[in-house]
Amino acid sequence: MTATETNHQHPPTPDPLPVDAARRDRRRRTIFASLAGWTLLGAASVGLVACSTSAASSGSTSAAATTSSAATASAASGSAATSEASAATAEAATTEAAAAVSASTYQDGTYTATGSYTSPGGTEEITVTLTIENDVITAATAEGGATKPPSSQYQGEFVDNFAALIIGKDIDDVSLDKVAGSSLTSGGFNAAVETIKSDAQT
Amino acid sequence: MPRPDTGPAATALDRPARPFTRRFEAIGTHWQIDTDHELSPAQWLRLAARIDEFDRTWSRFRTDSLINQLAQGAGTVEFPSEAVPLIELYRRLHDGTAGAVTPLIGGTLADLGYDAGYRFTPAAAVRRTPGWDESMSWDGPVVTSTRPVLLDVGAAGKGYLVDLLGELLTSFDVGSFVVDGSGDLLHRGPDQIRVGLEHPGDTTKVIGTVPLSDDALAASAGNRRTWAGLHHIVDPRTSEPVRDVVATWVIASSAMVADGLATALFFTAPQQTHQLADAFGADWLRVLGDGSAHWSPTFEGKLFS
Repeated sequence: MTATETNHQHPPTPDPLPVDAARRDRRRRTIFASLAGWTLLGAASVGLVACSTSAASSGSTSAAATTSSAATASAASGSAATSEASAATAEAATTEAAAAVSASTYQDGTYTATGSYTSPGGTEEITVTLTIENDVITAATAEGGATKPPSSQYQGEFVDNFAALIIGKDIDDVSLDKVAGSSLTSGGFNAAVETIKSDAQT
Repeated sequence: MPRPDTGPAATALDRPARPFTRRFEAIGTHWQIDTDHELSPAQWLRLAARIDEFDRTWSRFRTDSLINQLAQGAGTVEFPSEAVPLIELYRRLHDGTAGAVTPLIGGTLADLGYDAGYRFTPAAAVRRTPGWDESMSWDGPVVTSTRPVLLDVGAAGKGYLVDLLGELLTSFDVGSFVVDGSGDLLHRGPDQIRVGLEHPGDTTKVIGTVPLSDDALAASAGNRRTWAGLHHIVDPRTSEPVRDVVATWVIASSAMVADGLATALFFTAPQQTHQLADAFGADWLRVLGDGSAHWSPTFEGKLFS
């Protein structure tokens, strides 16, 4: 707020919801956290750079890469966990990594893995493809293999936060102080990611 | 009204961080207030007085309420200043849902049977919900109506009362509390509580959990307040209950916003849902009639799978 702004003599406009902005900012921070922690690329690229950095004995590069990931995530806020956002994050990290890295943890190449998860309609599959160059993921796609309606109808939206069918558990069986489950698609997504990470280890 | 009949706090939502629990009934539903230290009798009386004042202003179900003066005929009524945020929220939700959220739904709800006498039998002719601008105008807390209007602030009123009680508790220097207006929750404090998400088709089940910390959460579902094959979330454009959406949850910085948005999300298309919630900085989860669930990208809850 500048001095000019504070000197305005307009009558104060009643703001019925003055905390909206504060909560929006908190959500943005949550998006960063979710991009860094939940998506494979945020987590993997930061992790990779950190590995390489320790080989090069340089602490500052890791920090730079992390910052650049976060900045890119900011530009992509609102589309948390999409491939585009993740790829953009990875691309930003590439620059940092290429400058600092000589030792490679992962072999360059394109990796594909399929994870499965159980939906109410049966077992469904999701396929994740990653391209790794210089220990950095430079491209990522995810594709649902569901053939059974209604999963096939919706699975393409999985990055948009979607469960084909809600599942109820008896309240008495649930400890409401713990997280007792994960959504259908992200479980399959994470399983595929784990497979890729172990396949790509040299 | 708050009564000193403190019951055991042994519920599924037991919160040892706030061992002082009181349950009471107010504005037609169950309430629970948990605090980290004990309130004095005088403080409870002030909470009770606040609830009573709110009820006398806004209740569609009592003939002596201020809101019912508007049902008597065209004219001007001055509301307490607390009306301003509530009506402004309603206007934003009204505009964000193409008029689907409107306090003018009161007459239609009453004719459908959700009336002061809890008649729960639809009238032969159900009143059309009048348009906002054609029937009333607000200038701050002062409303001028051009016809008799039966207002209903059920979409956000309960959440607003949760906030108002929270403000009182804060003014009592209670730093850690949960106000639970039967599903409309306001949490204040450094800790985090985990809230079960009730199954919209089976109240003995939950479909997931969501953490809540220094925020408000409201739920809305058609499974409660059901009568004659109808429920209380009615689309004013058709005078029919909404069927496509069966349950919503919203987390926002105030219970009033969370409550109002939870109703609004019964009427919004996917794109509108994102836009409207984003405008309030709110997170949400929505269950549709086909049993599918959708949620905002930053919704921190977990659904069972």
